Amino acid sequence: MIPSTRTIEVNRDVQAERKQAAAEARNAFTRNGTLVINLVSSPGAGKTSLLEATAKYWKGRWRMAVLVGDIATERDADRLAPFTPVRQLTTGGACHLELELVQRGLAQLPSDDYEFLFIENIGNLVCPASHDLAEHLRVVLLSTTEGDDKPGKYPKMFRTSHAMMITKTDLLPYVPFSSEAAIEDALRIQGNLHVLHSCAIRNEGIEDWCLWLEHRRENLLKSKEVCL
Amino acid sequence: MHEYSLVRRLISHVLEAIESSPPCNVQEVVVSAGPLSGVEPLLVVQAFDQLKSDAGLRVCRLLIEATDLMADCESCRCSFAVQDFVFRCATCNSSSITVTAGDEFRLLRVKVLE
Repeated sequence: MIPSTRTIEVNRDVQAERKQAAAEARNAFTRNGTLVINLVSSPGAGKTSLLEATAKYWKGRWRMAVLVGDIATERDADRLAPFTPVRQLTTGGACHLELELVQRGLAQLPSDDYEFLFIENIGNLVCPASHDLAEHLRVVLLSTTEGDDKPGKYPKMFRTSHAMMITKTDLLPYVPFSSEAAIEDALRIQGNLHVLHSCAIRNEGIEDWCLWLEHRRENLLKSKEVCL
Repeated sequence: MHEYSLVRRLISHVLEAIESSPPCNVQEVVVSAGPLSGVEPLLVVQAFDQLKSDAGLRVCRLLIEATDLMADCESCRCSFAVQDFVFRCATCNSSSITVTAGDEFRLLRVKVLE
């Protein structure tokens, strides 16, 4: 018998199951009243400093926890441990976090009863853009030392983000960074982006950041009531 | 690199699609990727060539169809191609748009020899 070829039509998103799993996990967080924030940026943009300042601001007010992703070491977890429950997720080489690793880290946190859960992603503006970690909010940090032309260079990250925080604003007098140019560039890609500014080491912009998150969590709780 | 993670998922989907055929008969896998799919086609091909043998797809080749980045405007209802990653309607300049193509990595079809 002469072999013949057969074409099997599939037309399927390769990540469909992962996206479904992330959506289900996100719904579970919503039912639990936990707002999940995925912090993304290039290395050194200030994610850990922001989380340290956030934990200090909210001390005694809201319960937060952090899952920190890095390729190696537990330096960031060690740095945050005095201020907030934290677990280090070490990928051993992978350039991004995936949902399975986040869920393993969640299981190691002392409780599941947090109003705010932060995922500090691997420092990388490319690969994390393609991986849903069940977050409600994806916040991209852009530091003043990186250049105001970066949003257009990383369109997927900015397109999939809900907010952009310009960090290290204390350095603005010393670097050729235009906040207006960076914001205009980012809004071309994602017109709904909420823009924030901060200098974590001076505790500037932290109140606005925390109030914005509290407001977003209130909206989440209202949406939960609508769905019940 | 994250292409390896995605290609492992791709191969898993291919094996599901050909449940009634032996893996060694898979001749061709066709996928689509667009400007916002988050993959570099060259790296996808490299990853596929390295991972396919473990799945029994030794003779299989991977073809990648490029997809344009397309969107629908929620304000004026027109469909348009997104240019230079500027996500504004080409007709009315609204930013209320929904991307409809070019942001996924899709398995389109599998060709098997029977």
